[in-house]
Amino acid sequence: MSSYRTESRPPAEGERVEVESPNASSPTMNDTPLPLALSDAADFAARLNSAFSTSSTESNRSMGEESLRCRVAINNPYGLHMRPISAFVQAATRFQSRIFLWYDGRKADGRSQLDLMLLAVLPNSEVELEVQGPDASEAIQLLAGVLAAPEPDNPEPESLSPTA
Amino acid sequence: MRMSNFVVRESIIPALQATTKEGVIREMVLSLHQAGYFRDNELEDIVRAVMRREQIGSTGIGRGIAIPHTRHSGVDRLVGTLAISPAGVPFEAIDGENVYVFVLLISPQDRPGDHLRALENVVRTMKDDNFVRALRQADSREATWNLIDSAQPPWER
Repeated sequence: MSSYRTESRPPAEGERVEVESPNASSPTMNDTPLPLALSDAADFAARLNSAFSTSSTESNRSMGEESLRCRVAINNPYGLHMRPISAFVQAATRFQSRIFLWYDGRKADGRSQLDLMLLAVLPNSEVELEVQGPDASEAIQLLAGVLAAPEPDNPEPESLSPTA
Repeated sequence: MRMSNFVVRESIIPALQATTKEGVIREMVLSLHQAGYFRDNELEDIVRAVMRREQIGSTGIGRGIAIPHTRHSGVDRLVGTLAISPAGVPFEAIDGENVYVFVLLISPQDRPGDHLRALENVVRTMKDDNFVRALRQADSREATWNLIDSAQPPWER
């Protein structure tokens, strides 16, 4: 569990980021201290849906920069290995919002497979999902679901392999 | 965890013969076998398991690097090998480029943490372009091993 310095590490207020405390808005670079629960996200979704079905750049801008966070339990028995990460990245690229994952005091770009692999998120752990942008509420709901899934939709060939 | 903790020194392949995805995987599995891993009758099954994983989505992570892997009951700890293809092999990597550096990982069924840390370790080590360049230029098993062995993360020094 060494804290490794990466360029994606939050700008040092000197200390490690407190992701443990549920409401902490971690000192990230672009952080708007708006820790919203997932229920709030649903609220936002309702309000934003009409505005973004046609998604004009103008309205994106005016509604932009919502910052939502939620904690997600990792139910995948193998943790966030390459396949769930690919599923997450694939889902994340469908949104305009900026997407980050926090784990063990480190932050990863939700669109970067390599960045996410560096987190080495273990099974039975928790991550914090942070989404900033015009489609944040929609994104956070979908992405939290992807993260929490026991295994991506694909079949699981390894576990089917015969025990020799 | 360091790469030299799971890469089996005697199985390193400094110049792959294979020119296809399956050929590379087979050559690497065989090399681990020759270094003393897996029973004869497990080899085909392991190759097939790694290939099935590739069919779901390539483990070519870009920048000429791939990490083919599977879980298999034929190992009781995580083992891996490293191979270099001087010519490069089409691997359907996410960036569409050929792959030159391969790290094969075979994990036991019940050690997900080791697998995750190995992935992390490979990605972290390979972020260094100079390291990857040096790996591709290494012309012997010893030279390759020495590079891997010296790739020591700062916090372990």
